[in-house]
Amino acid sequence: MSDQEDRNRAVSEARDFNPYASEFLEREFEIYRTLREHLPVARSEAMIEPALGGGTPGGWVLTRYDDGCEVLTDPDGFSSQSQDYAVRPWIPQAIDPPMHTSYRRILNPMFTPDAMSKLEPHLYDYANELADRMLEKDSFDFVADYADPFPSVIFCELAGFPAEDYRQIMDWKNVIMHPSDGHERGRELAIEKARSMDLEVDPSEGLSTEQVLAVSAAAVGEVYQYFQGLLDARRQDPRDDLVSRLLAARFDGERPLTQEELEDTLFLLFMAGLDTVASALGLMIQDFATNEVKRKEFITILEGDDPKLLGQAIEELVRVHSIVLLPRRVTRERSFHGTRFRADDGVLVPTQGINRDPEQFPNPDELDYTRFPNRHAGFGLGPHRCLGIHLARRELRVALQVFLQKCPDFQVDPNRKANRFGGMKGLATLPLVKG
Amino acid sequence: MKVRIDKEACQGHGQCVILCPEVFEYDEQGFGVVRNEVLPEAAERDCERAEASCPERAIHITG
Repeated sequence: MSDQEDRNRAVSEARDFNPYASEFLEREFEIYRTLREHLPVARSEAMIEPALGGGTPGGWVLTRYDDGCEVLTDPDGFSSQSQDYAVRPWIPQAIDPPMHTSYRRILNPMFTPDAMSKLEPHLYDYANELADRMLEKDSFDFVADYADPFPSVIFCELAGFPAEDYRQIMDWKNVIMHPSDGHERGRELAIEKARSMDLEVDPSEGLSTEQVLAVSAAAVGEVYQYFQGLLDARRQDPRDDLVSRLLAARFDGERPLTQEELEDTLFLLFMAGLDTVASALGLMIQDFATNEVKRKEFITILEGDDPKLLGQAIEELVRVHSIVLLPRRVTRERSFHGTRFRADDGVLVPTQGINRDPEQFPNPDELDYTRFPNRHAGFGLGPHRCLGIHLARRELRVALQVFLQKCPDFQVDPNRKANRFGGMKGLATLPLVKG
Repeated sequence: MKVRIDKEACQGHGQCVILCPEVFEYDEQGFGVVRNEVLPEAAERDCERAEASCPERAIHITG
């Protein structure tokens, strides 16, 4: 194929690029490769994340690692207030420096490795309990029985969301984040909610964009109300949890957080803390189910005595199974490597795309536990680097270690289908069988 | 060999602590700190690996 034909093909792929649609996942890495090779700064007209507030469809997609880094480390040129929000921008994810820095100064100490190390015995207890129960059966759902509850329950406890509210919290999460990306439970809940709002839905079609926005706004409203109740409860009766610590925090050491700031921070923690580790675990184990060599190699590293090697291996797993799509908004008109960006243009940095750039990561599709250097962007880059990074790393290590120790041999269940979803992608279900 | 972390660039990824905890640790905000700017010889190689691995290119070895 000629250069011009390659470029035309890339332009066409770019125009239809929509990583939030579950069909995208079938050709995900092929599409990123096409764009990176022939149109690294690409214009999509199809990209829209309705669940997160809509906004204008379309935007720029970057697939080169260097270009992604450039955007993510330039909050002045590329703002994080990049979407319409159902209530208000999430804190601190949708805020730019300098206020972003002040919010992170409050949150960072709550998520340091030291702070997270206190959770370790609890992580092991809980992982063991879940794994033992799951493995009583020879065929099981790795996501529903383990990958989903493990990080989500830990997170709810850490944040201060009451254990008895867990199911409701997960349902809210699923209807807000996954109404139309292929997640079956999310879709089901969204249709149910739409009907309860007297919206007419054809279940074979799913929800329209407007309906998704309406359902999402309603659910977000309910979550905000729930947080209001939680904040009131902790004001009366503070505990050793994040909600209580946020109530005690002082912005720039001077003033308490306002009611809005508290709610917007809790909402961000809710959005960022529930799905991420569950999705990553599901994708990692799905890969291991069909990749015995890499699985066994990782088990050897887990059982070995080299924490540096284990740390590196976890980072490589995060690189290969990156899940986050990072949106930004151009703040002022400028040229970006030969392309004109207008003020307010949307720019998407898919971490799963830039993390497979061969110029930065030779043999990018290969899982190489000793890959060096591994400057991956799986936890983001720049000031918005994932707040939960140390919790995530710890949870991944414990969850993988406990499961693989008890069940080192497993395969995909030939009789049941995994449910993948797009966007901040992952698996809603992953049926496996032992052996 | 001496090592320093550019505090403007460091975002607390912690790859340096993973690869070379002998030299690097976290402060109370989770950003990188050098335990001792003069490197013990045994840690030099791992420290070079840490410098190369920082996604923000915040580590600088001199000498």
